[in-house]
Amino acid sequence: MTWIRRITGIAALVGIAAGINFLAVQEDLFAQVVVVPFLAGVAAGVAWVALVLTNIARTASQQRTLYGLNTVIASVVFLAICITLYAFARQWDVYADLTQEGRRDLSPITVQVLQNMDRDIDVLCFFLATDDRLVDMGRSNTRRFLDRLEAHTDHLNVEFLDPQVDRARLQGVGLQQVATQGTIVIRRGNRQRVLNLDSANARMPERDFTNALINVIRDRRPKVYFLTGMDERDIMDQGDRGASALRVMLEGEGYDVEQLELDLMAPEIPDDAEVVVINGPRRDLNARYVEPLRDYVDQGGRVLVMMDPWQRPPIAMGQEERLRPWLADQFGIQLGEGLIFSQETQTQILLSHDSTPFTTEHDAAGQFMGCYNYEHDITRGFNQQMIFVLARPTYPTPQRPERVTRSELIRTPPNFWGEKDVSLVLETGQATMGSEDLEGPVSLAMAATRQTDIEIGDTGQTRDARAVVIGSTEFAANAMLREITSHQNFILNTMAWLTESEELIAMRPAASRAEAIILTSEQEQFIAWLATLGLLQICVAAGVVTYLVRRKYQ
Amino acid sequence: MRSTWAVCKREFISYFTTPVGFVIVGVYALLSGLYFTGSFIIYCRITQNPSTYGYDAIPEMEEWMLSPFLVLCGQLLMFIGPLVTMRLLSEERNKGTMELLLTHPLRDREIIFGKYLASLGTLFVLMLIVGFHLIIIGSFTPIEPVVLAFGLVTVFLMGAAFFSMGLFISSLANNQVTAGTMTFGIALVSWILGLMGQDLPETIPAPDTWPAGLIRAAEMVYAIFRELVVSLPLDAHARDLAEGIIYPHDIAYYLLFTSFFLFLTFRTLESRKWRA
Repeated sequence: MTWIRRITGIAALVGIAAGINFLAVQEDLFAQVVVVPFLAGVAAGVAWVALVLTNIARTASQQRTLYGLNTVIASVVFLAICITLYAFARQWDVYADLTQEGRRDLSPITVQVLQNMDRDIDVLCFFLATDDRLVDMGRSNTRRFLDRLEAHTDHLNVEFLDPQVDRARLQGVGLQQVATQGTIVIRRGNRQRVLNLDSANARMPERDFTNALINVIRDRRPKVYFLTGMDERDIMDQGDRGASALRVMLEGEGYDVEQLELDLMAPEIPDDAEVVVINGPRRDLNARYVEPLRDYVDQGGRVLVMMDPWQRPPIAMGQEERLRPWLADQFGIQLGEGLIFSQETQTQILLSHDSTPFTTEHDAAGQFMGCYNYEHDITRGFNQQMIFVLARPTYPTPQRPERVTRSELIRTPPNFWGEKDVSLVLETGQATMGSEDLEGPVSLAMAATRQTDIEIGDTGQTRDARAVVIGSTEFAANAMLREITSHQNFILNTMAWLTESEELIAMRPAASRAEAIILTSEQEQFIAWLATLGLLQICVAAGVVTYLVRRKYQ
Repeated sequence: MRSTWAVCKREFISYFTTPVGFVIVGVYALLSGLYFTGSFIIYCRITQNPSTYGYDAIPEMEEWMLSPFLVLCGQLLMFIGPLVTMRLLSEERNKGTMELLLTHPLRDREIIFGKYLASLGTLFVLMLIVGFHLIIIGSFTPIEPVVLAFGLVTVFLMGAAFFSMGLFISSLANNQVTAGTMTFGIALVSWILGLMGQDLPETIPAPDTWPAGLIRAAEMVYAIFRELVVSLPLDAHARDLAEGIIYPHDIAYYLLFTSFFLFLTFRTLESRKWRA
């Protein structure tokens, strides 16, 4: 019996070792030369255990066998309990993101997009099989990020591929090579977006991914035209005062953006224009532009007008101002002539959200949460701070045009007022509220819809014209738009509302805001010494002191 | 409780009345300090000029440097830990003092918890080293308190789990060297498996020529094997925790791991009574 036990034990070791060695050579888990010796080894191992137990039971006393059996069973039961509890915890798909900015929480827009998905999207993640730290971080962070996305939808088909092994899959999506740190392909049918992790960020950029997802999901790319010819902010200008960031941001969200210079001889807004933007004009609307714009709005067109304060466009003798009266006439929105001011912060306006309705002596309607109208689609749920450097009052006209509905979107805190004497502010930087001035809180952005008779196809429904008018442009210029997430959210929500894509109205993820740490070479040397030799010497010194003390007292 | 405390106190003092404790702390300080210095200085240089290092923007410190550093501190415990735990019970047996200990009016649980708490005391001393490094970081840039707190909790949980395994192995072995070598070997295998697990494909299709039932069985066995390789290593559950992202299963893993090995240690100590 003893020799059988020995032979089975040796056979188990030899079989399992042979299986592992053949696996290392063959690199095929299911090859016959791997499976057969491995299974034979396992079988021999089971036989050996059985024989050992039999031997114990035979040779040891009955009581000792029972105790041993009791210990084994108790241990196995305890292990089973542990595994079961762990499995329950694993199934419990919750997590708490306790970081300050909730950077691992998905943003509302991402969740919204995922939950609205009704068709399958393929997400192919190509990562080179290498030990490079950046690749490893990119792969592991991407995997965790996609795991969180999959918790919100069943329509994501995620695959991780090695571009060298799965070359055909790579070529199948029209790529010949991938970025060193990894490439993600988001694909639906023939529409696809490619994200390269070449920025080597430590985590998958959620903003980029969500934008790509929106692009792939959307069946159309709404066309946004920026009207030119009025010395407005240029969407090609990459300087601080330019608006290239606005263009790039809109394109990233799936809009087609173009400049529109109307032909003065036959001005006409293109048929494919979903939104026409007038961004910071320094001259008035050309007289020939008024008619096509009116026609465009009559056909249910959408306009976004942003205009800086105190600019009353230069008007030739005998001519009348055109843009502001046109807005007042079409949508009942008045762009005031003054600028918004307060004693505390002068022209700088910090707009904040408040969890309780914002009421004032003048307006107790309570439809505002802080500075944002929580009853309007654009600003509902808006919970971020915006900063306007200069703004002009933008308020409803006393007479509401027929078939028009208007809403204030943003208003200042009550300590601001609409200062009419701009020249005083320019000269002294100070002002006091006079009887002519507009009492705070002052409205500085408005939205309006105007019913038209234009039918949408055969649906029997009519298409409303829509307008958003904002009394400032600085907030959407490159310098601020690139840095302040809330401004991006506000513009993108506005665009989504204008294009009737309300499902895209939500808060976008904030960008990373890490700061530079500047160390002098002396500081570097000090840190290196302190963290290694310094600490080590403290330990050694403590040891020596202990030894000496013990020696003294023993 | 008083007996537990007495055992714990005696054991903890014995670490630091011999060179063992200081060697352990010194080695840990040196290794963690080297990694800390390298990663912190490189991170600072990256923040000053990200594009030189291939970054578009400054990577976040918590993700790039702090969390990996804290996880590494936990991983170091896997290799330094055997030095702490190898003597806990095996030394008693080797010196012949185990019988003496068992004849004292002490319950098994008082002996085990006392010795385990002493090892946790040493772990606390090791964490002071980590805290010292964090103070250095904190003097140059603010650290997210939650990341800091959960980073330290992660190191503690990893250490506590690993020390419980070391205690169990120490209860099996007859001398310290065997206990230390076994604990170190298991830690190394666990660490290597963890590294391998990252590269294991999610599925490996069995040959089509196999019967359907066999294919399913093979795939299921592979899936279980992969899950074990991916989930079993102690450091596999640390990264999210160290970033301030709390998954219940990560905490459950460490607590259950610790409980299981403490339970096994109880059984081992108990077995001496009926095996004698």
